[in-house]
Amino acid sequence: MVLKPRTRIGMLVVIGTWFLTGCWDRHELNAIAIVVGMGIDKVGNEFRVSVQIVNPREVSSKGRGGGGSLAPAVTFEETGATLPEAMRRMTVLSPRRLNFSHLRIIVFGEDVARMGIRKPLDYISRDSEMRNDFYLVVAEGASASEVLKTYSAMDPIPSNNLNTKLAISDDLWAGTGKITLNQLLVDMATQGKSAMMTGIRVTGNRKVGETMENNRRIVPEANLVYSGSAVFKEDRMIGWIDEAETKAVNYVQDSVKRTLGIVSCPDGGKISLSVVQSKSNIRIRMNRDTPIINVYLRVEQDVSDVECNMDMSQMSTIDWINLQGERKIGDIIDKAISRVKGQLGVDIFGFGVEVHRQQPKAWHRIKDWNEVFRHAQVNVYPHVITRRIGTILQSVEHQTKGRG
Amino acid sequence: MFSSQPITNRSFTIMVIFFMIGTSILIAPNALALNAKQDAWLSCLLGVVINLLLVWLYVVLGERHPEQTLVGYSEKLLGKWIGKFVGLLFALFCYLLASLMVGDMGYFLTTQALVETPIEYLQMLFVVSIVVAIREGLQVYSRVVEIFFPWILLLFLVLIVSLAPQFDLDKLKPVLEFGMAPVMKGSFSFFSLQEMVVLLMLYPFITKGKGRGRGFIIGTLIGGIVLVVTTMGSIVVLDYTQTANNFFPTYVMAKNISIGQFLERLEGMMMLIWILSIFVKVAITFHAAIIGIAQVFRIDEKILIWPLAIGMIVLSLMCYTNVIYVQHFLSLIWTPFASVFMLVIPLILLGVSLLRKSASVG
Repeated sequence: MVLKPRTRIGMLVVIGTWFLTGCWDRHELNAIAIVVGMGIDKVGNEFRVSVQIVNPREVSSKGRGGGGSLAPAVTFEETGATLPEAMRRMTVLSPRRLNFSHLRIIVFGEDVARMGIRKPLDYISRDSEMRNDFYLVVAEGASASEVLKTYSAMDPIPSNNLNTKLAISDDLWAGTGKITLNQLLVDMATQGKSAMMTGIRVTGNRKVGETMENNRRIVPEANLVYSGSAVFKEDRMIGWIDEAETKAVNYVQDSVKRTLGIVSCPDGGKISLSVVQSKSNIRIRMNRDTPIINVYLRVEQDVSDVECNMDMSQMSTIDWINLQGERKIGDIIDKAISRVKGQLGVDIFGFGVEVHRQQPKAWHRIKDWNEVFRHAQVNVYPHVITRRIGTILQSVEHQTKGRG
Repeated sequence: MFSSQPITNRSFTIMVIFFMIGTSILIAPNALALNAKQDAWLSCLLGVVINLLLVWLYVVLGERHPEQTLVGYSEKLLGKWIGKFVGLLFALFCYLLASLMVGDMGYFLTTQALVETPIEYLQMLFVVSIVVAIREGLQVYSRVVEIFFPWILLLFLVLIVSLAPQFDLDKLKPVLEFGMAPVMKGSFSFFSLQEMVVLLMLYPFITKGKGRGRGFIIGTLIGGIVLVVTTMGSIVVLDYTQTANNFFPTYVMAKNISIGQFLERLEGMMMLIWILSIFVKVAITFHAAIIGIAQVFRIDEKILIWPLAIGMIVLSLMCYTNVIYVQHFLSLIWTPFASVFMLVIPLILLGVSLLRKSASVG
């Protein structure tokens, strides 16, 4: 097809405009506010939403004047009958358009958690800007907005601080649990497993924590600390479990990556054992209609320190350490299970999911799993193997005692 | 519009793979999980088997009339008027299908990525590129498809491999919890989403010989494997509850990729796979509609392209009032409706063709 030059240019212009259509959704970096944290509280009948936004000038490495004269992050608060309403109304506070695709953490206030989180979760999972790479936590004894107002040491953006803190403690300590939106929704939708979220507390002087003074000190006046987990029945929080119990849940759910435990020596000293690998296997047997739940754990550990006088060169010592480790882990899990059964009455261990998977026929006869769980027999069989004992053989105590 | 040179078997096979992946990769897991829960992948597998059987039927039919399209031999077999009527219905089916997919594309982009862009402009841009492809002819766009193919394959493999750490295979248990009924129900609504019958309109333009039919079947099989793997991936990453409640579960699945905190935000790859495969599928389907209408009315194909392309946008906006409407349409009406064109018409044509042959022999 041969066209006149003028027609060609005309066509080019027309076609050019088509390629600009993508610019409808353009959001320039200097026109958006990057939301890193979101807090949800309930005030009367309305939701109070706090969003924490990175203060771009303070966190950029270049052109930083006066060593942080401005706060590294800004937290805006707005109330609304629904979450989206509060967000939209936020435009009267924020000079820039909010962008949620870099969200690091969502904090639920304890009151909203106790009243139910179904309503706020809908918007969070329906909105297309939200991703699945942020964690969800519950503020313990505080409102979400208090958490998001506190200055954090080291990583000056509190939400980032909270995110990495949770990831690292989940990885090394197992006394917390990082839970993502998808996981939470699955837990809430699944019959045989109740949801759990790690708790966050503000320690120390909250008044000072809200000022920059907090970050000027070597020992921060206030800090944000993870502690225990909030337990949910359907979408309502019904109570707290402590750190050891959270660890027990992690053991059973096979989500312990590494952790550390202590056992006592016969002479009163202590040995620290660091778990390097843990694999759990839940087997369900049916005794008529009541399930018998067997949890098999295979744990590999290293000896981190020996603060007592034991002869580490003997095989029998290692066997003894293995046995103590097994008792300790079994003990933690047994205690957690009996407390959860007795006081909370919901299955946060996910045994019901295993019953469903392994005994589907029996599962369909069960009407209320939590009721069955409260009376189910759970046996824990830990099996511990010691792999390494570090770089020295005998304990310092063994080497130095009675030789001066 | 066609050069005399036929399409090679290789590029035909690749076109079949794209056609099979088509829209299904993004929307099928949702409906499958809604019906079959954790057995969605079994449902998908069964749907692929049904498709293979259908394709076998198409190959038998196509090989009996190696020089003609479906519209062509329906006129020959069923007589001038009935044949033309059936041919026209078939062409309109292709046309409706193409515009539904344009609607799918627009809704996906405006829901997940370009929230503020008016859907009309996205669809216009998309349709213009389709028109360009079709004006250039089957020869040209079949080569384009060959160029796309290694990229799609690579992106798909990268997606699956980088999601592998998050696979929780226990989520597939218990297998067949509610028996075969929900699995069959899922596959019943699934198999009609691939519409392989459309390719019979292009069949005569492929290099003749054994490789043609084999390519059709192998392409369906490979595309089917991609779909089964994607469905399974969606279940083991997101759980069936979330697969069933997301409109575009595979896109959400790709959003979950996170390797070492730096290999993240790869969902664009999923979008690219989907846009490329839906582009190929819409191009082929729209082309089939044009060939069909042109053959029924004995007019030049070229005159039809622009008006029908514009009509396709309008039709897609009319069909796609909202996403719930389309879901209802797909789950309740589409399978029986599409089965008429995917199963009933080819079977009738094959039956008549066999009868005529035996009559002429006898």
